[in-house]
Amino acid sequence: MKDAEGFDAFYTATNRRVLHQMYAMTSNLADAQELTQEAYSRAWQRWGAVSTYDDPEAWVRTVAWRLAASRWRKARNGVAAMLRHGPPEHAPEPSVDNVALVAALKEIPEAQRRVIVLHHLTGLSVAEVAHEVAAPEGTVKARLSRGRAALAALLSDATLTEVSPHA
Amino acid sequence: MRNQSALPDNDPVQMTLVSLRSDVERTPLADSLSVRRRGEARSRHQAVAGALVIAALVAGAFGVADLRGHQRHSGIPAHQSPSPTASVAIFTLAANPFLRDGDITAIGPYGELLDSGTEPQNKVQQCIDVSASATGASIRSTTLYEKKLGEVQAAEHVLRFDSAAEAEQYWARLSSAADACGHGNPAEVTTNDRGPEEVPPDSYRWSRLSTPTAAAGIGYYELGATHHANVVVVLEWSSMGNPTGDNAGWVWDADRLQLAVDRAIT
Repeated sequence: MKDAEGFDAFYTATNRRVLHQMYAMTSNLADAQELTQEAYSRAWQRWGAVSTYDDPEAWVRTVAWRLAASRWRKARNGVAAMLRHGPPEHAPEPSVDNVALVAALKEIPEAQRRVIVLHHLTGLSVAEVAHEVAAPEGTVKARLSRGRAALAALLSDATLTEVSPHA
Repeated sequence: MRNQSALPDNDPVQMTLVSLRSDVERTPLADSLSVRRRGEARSRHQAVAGALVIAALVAGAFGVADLRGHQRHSGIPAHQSPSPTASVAIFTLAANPFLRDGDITAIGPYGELLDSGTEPQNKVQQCIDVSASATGASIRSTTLYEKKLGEVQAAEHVLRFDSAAEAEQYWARLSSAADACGHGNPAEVTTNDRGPEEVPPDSYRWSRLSTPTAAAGIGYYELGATHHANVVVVLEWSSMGNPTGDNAGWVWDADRLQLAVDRAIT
């Protein structure tokens, strides 16, 4: 018998955080919403095991990201994507204040966007990010540096490049 | 935010990203009961699909399979028959269902993996025969090679089943085969097995590191298997030692497994 109360408490405590992270990673509210819910539903399927992990939220986040990455690849073949996922949902628009930021995030390569979100929004150390994305720490630092520079240029905000990655 | 200690209090990138919260707060999410129901619906569906396969196998043992075969010869594709599995998407394979040159650029000391366009010579690696329990599947296989050091033996097998349930059953059987794979002759090699280990959401992997004798040959073998609906992709890797380091990393990581199944279908 799975612990529904435990899952509900976990979902309630973490779902907005994961949604926020997925929004920053995908730059699309509808995608973030769908991916977040799908990832949590998969967590419930395996809750007996997932609930014992040190960080179940990291499991959910990773599954959501992999689902997103898979969809992007399939979207390169529009017909196949339509067959597999149905017509695209109407995406809620970003608020006026966030239009520029969302547009800028879309311009950054996926790998850079992911490490920026994990480090700067999720708050993981460089080593933790490296573990989560299965890349060497040097690679993570390089992606962070390039991603910040790209973001700063797109937003015309020099302050974004002033921070160096913290271990 | 899980671990803010990794960041200074006034991190400008964090402050920029936090501004997205206003959009997040106005975006509704399903309640936890709905999310659980969604997960349970998938579990039920998978269970029903698995039960149907078992029922079909039992029926086949009593000769009902002949009738099913007759239906197929009558031009009725199995996946179009009315059943609880009818709503499951059935995919055909891509014209080239294999990983492409450049998809895997470097693994440890090894360079890019290239598709040789030839079928693997060794059907059985360790004690795992990928095709042995793939009854009813169409199988396409290729050998992947690496020319920088020239000592990698890798293979990719793409299996297409008539239904998602059959694919799921095969996937589970392959995992069991890896789990049950004997340690060989301990007088000849010492082995260190890992897995089968789940790679969420739809994959697993298994590895064997051996200290070989001259006759034993290859020292590291890794199998990764992933599936989507009625398609399963199995990836095999053999080299002199684990190329990712001290037997801690994996060749078939989640991204490579996912890419392989994406290539197979789209």
